[in-house]
Amino acid sequence: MINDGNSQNVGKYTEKGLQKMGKDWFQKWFKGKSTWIISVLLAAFAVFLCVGEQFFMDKVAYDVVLLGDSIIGNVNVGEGIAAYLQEDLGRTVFKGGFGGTTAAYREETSYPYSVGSQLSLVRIAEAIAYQDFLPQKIQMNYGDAYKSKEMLGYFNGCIKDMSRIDFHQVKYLVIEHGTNDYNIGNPVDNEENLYDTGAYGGALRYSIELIKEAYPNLKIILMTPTWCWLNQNGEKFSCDSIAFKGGGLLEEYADCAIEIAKDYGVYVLDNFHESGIGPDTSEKYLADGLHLSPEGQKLVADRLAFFINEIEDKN
Amino acid sequence: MKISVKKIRIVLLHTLRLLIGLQIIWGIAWIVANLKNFQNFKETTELLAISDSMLTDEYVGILYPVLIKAAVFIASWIPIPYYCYLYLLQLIAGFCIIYKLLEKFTDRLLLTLWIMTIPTVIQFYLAVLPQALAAPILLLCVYYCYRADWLKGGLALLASGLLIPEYFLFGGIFYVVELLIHTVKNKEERKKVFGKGILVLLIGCLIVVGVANVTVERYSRGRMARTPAAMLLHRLVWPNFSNTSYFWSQEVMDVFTVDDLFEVATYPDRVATQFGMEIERVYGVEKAQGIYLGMAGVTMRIRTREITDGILADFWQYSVPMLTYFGGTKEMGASFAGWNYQCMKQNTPLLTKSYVIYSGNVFWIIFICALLYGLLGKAEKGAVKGQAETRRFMKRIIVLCMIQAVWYTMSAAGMQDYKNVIVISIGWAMAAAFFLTPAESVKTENENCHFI
Repeated sequence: MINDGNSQNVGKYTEKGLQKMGKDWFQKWFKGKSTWIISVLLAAFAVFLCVGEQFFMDKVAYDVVLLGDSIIGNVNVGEGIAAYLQEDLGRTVFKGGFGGTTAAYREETSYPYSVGSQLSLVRIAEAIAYQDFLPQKIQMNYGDAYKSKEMLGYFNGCIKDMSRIDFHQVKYLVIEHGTNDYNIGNPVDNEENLYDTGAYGGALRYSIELIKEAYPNLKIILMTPTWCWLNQNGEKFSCDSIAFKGGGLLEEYADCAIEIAKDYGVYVLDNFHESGIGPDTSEKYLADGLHLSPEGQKLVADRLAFFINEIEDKN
Repeated sequence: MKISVKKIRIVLLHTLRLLIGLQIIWGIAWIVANLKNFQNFKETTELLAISDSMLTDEYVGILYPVLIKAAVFIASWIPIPYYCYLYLLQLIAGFCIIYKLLEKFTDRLLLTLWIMTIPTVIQFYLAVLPQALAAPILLLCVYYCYRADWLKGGLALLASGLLIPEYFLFGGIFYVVELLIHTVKNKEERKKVFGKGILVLLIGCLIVVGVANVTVERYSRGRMARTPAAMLLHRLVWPNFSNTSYFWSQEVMDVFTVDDLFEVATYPDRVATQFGMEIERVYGVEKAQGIYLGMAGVTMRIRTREITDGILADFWQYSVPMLTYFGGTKEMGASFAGWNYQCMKQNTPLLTKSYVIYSGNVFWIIFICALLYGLLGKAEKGAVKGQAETRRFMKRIIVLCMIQAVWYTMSAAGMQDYKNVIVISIGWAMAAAFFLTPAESVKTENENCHFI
């Protein structure tokens, strides 16, 4: 075999020969399939453009996320249970309460234009579990555009911020619901269907199971609602004395939450029975009979911080 | 240059094949996963009630409740949920009709499946709602009218109108206009063409009047009379019922307090169910029309900018449903899209999320690639005319889409809902299919690259 560097004379099994064979074969193969290869690459790029954002979205980490109603949500900047808790614990806390919302999701009172239905605990738990806040975001836009009376100024921003939380990194999820379920008269529970999301108990079970399945390491803390009194036609009623149609006394909701926490092995902080907020102390801890005053918020935040520290000490 | 254009077109074709194929697979997976599931639309509850009473109003057609009744009857014999029969009917009918509509288009099967699996379309094939059935039937009506097949066009018009009442208007416009066009063009058999067309139309009208006399009763569903003035009231006045109340006539203020008007302003459907019902109960339908027009005029004068912005926003969303809803699945739009999406994903949340994100975003990539493919085809020597008949048909589809967009925009504020404009979603997809269809007279190497 002559090996004078001339490609014509390169032997079949020399190094250069093999390289030339490989190159020829590749060129022949590529020539026949170049359009397909380019098409596959373009299609892959298009698919990446379509779905890539979901995987490369900037996520934010919080140590504690609070979900709930106006007790959590309707506060000024720098105030409220979330802010005080953050001070107490020295950790990041996300305020994820939405005023006027309930744990339960009731089909008969939910409409395409109602904002509150998408912000119930049931729907928020679904959004968290499946990392899909699109229905909530669209509904907030609707509420904003038509100045829905269910919509409070902070809802839109709160949902957008919540959608960016990396729940895999969250350590504690605190759920505080019950007061509005009581007010509206949502059933406390449904004995025939324990997963009836139209009842307070069913909503809690459904939400806890969803979140536990999606985030097994996340510690869930149920916070029972605080004692309150209500104004009806100018008269004051305590939550111990009046039940609204379809529902029970507020204490029943609190007891239901405690039972469910036991059943699911999740933590429960019983503010209704053990916080000290009651008829004798309502002047100090309640701003309007229903919502907490700054002292009340501090009290609950301190209790929650102590509770979380206890959990960590035990673990 | 010629070779590189050809190569580019081939690459575009292959890319489209892959993207469309992926969507079809995903869509079929979604269908299979949801075939036995039920989407909880409010309208479905009403349709079920109508199927029991067989009494409806001007807003809802009677034919779909009849189909529900039939499905329930069949389900009593064969124990499969009644809605599965409706889903199958809708899927088969939708597929056959769209396949028929694409008869002059290339690669019919693939493109039919693609159109069927667009999320704003497929969702309603698996819902107990008339839109998924009525939309393709309306398109079929336009198709047959274009081809001067008055009997089939008339039948399609009748069916679509009995499903959704306003479709009588949409289809009727095309029927009458096409009849006039064909009458004028057909010099030899002018009388025969016109006579046949008019006869079918008259018989159709008689059937509609007869059915309406038996099954339609105003106020039976608790809604105000459906009139142009009522539409204007809904479009121009909501949600400003209470904050413009200073300008209302005494007749209005005798019936409603400001607090009542605030309640009406809270939710858009209360215009029909509360405000209109009460006004018409007190003053009668005829006098009420004058009141509505007065309120609409006043509000338009005072809040011109706000109303105009709202109209334009709704019109934009109706015109391009795939962009404004999915728009990269960004949180756009003041509409019922959130609710609809919630219904769609309720039973298969993760599959639906991925399917909707992919399909919603890829639609525009497919559209642009198809457009590019078509434009490059024009640039190629020889690929000039052709598809004339298809082009004319597509123009009619565009006109139909515009009519629908205008109608639904002007019929109500605060109720923008993409399920009303399935025709427009299909229309956009048909436009993409049109760009992919080569001219009949051209035979290039590209023709060998058909999908199936």
